[in-house]
Amino acid sequence: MLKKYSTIFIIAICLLFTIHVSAQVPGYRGKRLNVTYDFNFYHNLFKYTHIGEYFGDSYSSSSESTWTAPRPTIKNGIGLEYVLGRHSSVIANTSVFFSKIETKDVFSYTNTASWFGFSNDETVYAEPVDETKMFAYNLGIHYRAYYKNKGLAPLGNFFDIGIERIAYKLTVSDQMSISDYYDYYYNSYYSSSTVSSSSIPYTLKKWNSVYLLNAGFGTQRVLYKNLTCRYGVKLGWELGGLLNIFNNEYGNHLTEQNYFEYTAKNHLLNKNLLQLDFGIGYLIK
Amino acid sequence: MILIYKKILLPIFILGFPLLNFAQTNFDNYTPVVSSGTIPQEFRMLYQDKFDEDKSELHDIDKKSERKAKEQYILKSNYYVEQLILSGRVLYNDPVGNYVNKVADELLKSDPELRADLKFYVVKSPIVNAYTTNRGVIFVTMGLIAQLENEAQLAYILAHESIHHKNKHGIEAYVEKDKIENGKDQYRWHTKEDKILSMSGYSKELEFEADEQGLDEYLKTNYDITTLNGVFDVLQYADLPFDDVAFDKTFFETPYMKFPDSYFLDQEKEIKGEDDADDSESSHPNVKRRRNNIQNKIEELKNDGKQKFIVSETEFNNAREIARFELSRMYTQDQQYAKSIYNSYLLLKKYPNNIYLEKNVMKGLYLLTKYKNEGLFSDVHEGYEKIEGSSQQLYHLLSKLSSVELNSVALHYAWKTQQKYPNDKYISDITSDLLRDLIVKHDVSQDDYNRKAKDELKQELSANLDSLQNKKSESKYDKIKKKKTTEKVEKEDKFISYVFVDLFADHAFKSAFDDMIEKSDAEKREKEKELTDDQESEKRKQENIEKKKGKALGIDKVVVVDPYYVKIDQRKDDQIQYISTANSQLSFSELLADNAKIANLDIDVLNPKTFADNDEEKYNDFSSLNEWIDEQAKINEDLESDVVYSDSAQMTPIIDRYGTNHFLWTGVLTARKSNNFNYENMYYVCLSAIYFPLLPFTLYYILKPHYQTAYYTYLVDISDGKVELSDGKYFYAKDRTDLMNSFVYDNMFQMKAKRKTKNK
Repeated sequence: MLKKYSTIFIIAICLLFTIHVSAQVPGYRGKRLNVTYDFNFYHNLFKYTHIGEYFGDSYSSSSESTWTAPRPTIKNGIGLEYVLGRHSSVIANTSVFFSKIETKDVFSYTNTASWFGFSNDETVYAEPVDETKMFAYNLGIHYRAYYKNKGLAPLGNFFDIGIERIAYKLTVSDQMSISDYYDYYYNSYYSSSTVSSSSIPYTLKKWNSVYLLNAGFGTQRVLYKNLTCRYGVKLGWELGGLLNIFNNEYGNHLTEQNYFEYTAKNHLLNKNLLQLDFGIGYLIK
Repeated sequence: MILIYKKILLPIFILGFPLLNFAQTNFDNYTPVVSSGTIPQEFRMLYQDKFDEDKSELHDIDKKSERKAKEQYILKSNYYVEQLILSGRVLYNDPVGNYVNKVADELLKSDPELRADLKFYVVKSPIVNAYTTNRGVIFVTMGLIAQLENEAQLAYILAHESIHHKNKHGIEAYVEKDKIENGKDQYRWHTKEDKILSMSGYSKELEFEADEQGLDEYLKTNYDITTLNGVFDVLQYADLPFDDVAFDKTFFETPYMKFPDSYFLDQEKEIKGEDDADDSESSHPNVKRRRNNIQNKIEELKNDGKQKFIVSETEFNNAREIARFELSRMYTQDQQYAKSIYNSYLLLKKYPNNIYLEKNVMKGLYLLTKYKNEGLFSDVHEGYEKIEGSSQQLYHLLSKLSSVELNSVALHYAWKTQQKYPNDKYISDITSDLLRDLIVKHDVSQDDYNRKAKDELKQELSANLDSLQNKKSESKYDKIKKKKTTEKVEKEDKFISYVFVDLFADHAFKSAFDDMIEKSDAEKREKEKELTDDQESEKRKQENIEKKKGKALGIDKVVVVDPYYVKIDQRKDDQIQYISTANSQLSFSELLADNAKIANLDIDVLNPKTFADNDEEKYNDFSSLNEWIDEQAKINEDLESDVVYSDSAQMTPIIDRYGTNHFLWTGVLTARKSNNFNYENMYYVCLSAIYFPLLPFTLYYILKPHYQTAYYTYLVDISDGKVELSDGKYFYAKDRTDLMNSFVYDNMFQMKAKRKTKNK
């Protein structure tokens, strides 16, 4: 329901805020509309890998997260900040980012054995790794409360709270790399190679979405004339996840596809959990 | 045409020139002294330019510490001169200053080079003083001129100050002070007490040198020697009024109201004027030592043919009289109301029926009444016990009068003044306010004041009482009458009840009294009237709107007077950042203009640094506005009730000239705090000790520079002195341009904005 009407929902919130816009609030020297280029740095503290395993007809899954060295990546976006009052503003923002997800043994790779010259694919227990590209865009609405700013919004320290809808699309490669697999037939290890899978679920190419509750704090100032800069920290939690924190949303219906989706979403949430938020803006009106 | 020029205009020009050069002031219609002609370069020159010019003269000093100390002195000295000029208290090309310059010409005839170096200006200050500054600018105060006996005394004081400049005493003393304070050279092992004594000793040495060499310069002229002793009298009795005349007890009395004897002292305190004070730690030797030093030197000198006046006695008297007239105003501005009243009283002896002086007395009484009515009298009135000489009677009388008595006396004086000058709005405004205060604050009615003379009333009441007492049987009504009559007899002893006997004969006073009672009752009723729900909610709504959005004054034009800026670095001994302060003062004017443009507000900035050399009118306006706001701000801060601030005679021409009555005083004070380890730092250190990852933040917090900035805006309608917008911000940040822009724009927006009102 929420997903279906998400766009309407966001527009409605925008309208709700603008109703309260008062006529005589100065903003920064009379300018109240700040167009910003936002770039959020996040780094993968964890390398999140999903591992699928087949046991006959059943499928089980586990995930593996390993610490990685901080590797900053950027999420680019634009925002429109409208100053409502001396201590508040409302922001509509959108951003895009690309990422890759590494999965192990998620999709079965039947017929790959012939490629390797094996007659029975079950004899190969390898961990084919798939690198899935993910493209996502955010669409959000935020309320920013300025504090200790002497009534000078959009300048000063702020606390920001908002909702963001992240839509993401996965592009799964049908080429999987296999490294260090063990061939029971020959009782020996093989080094890396590439296999193709015909069972990749193409339905994954549809858009999925997740709702995030965002909170952040930071400060904004004017650098020169109408050029603004902003820096701060932004945190995000899955809205549904918060509501159903103890529920496994997939229940017992585990399939390789929904586990893969689950992996992708976790990957996404991981990236939105903690971000360094920067923005350069221009007060246009 | 040429003939006309030669025959008529030329002689007028030639003969008229000396006359034009000195115009006798008309003291009967006295108006405050103003500057005239071209604004001196000194007033308009930028601080940075002055500093660069002075600094270039230091290039041949090899010793780094000495050069540094001298640079610091130049910075400091120029800054304070700059601030004095920016206060608007310095006059140029005015009758008093011109006369001082003529005396200086006469004095330094034999030393034209020194004369060319010196510029003399008069400062509107009641303090008795003269001082030399770095660039040969010598300031003489009005307070000093007012106390002098003759021109020769002025010449000696100028000679003394000229030597300070010639021998570069200012800068030398500063270098020496730097050495002493920092324990350099011979002061290396000095204790703190030794250092104080050394500093005082060195400074006194320079004063003696200026006294002696000033005397040498003086003796080159034909000025009288015998009068020099009087110079030291001027210093000794500097705190006293310019004359000591017994205060006439009847000055505030009316034909029907006499003050009780207890309101006056039997004997005024004798004038002591200590001349032998302990000067061991002061910068100047005491008067006695200086007097003796000079006396010894002139004892055997002949005074034949020497004169007390060389330039002109008339001009001296004129200049001194101007200074004395100015004193009345300056004392009022400095909130020394009793001193101002006594000063005017002295002048009124010579110039009775002088509107300037009478207005000044009235204003003094009015403001004393205001302070007394609010229980703040002692804030503006020195205890009479400390006062010496005849003026003590006045101090005593003003102390003794209760608030209702003082209010009544002030009203009587104001009403009489109003009768004399019925067209003066300022007088009538003050009279009306005094009447209002009497009725509202003291809740009096006309019945509290008698309408008949004391003797007449006493006789009448005694007769009534006798007839009542002689009655054999008293009825209820007789008893009431008797009681009332007894009360009246008791009241008859209150001297203040007779204060308006003469005024009640005037129908205008009676009806003004009635009208004011009616008006105040109506206001009271209006105040007490409960608002309807709609009115209440509308009121709340308006309050909320103002709270959220600020004011909407709907003003089109504002004049910014003296934009102020000061930058401080608390880590340094000399905390003011002189150069950046001066530069910021200029850029702040630009910032104001820039924001006004965006806010669509028309502004004029009155700042001497941006004046053209022929902007004398602007300079005078700047000067009188600054004086006015100083006084207004002080009173406004102290008193809760409304006060009549503006004399329309003074303000109307200014309002007409600038096309607005909205004048803005605004400024910024910003300081870099010292990085001392304080409790706040301690708090962060403790947090880091508890939770180690916070250490980087703690280090950042402790090491980063800390600033605090204050910004103020004070918009006043000078036609009535009403404060239209008063805003102050205090924050812990640097004076960043974006913050300043925001504050300034915000205020200007509120000035310009007009709020839409719903028409129901």
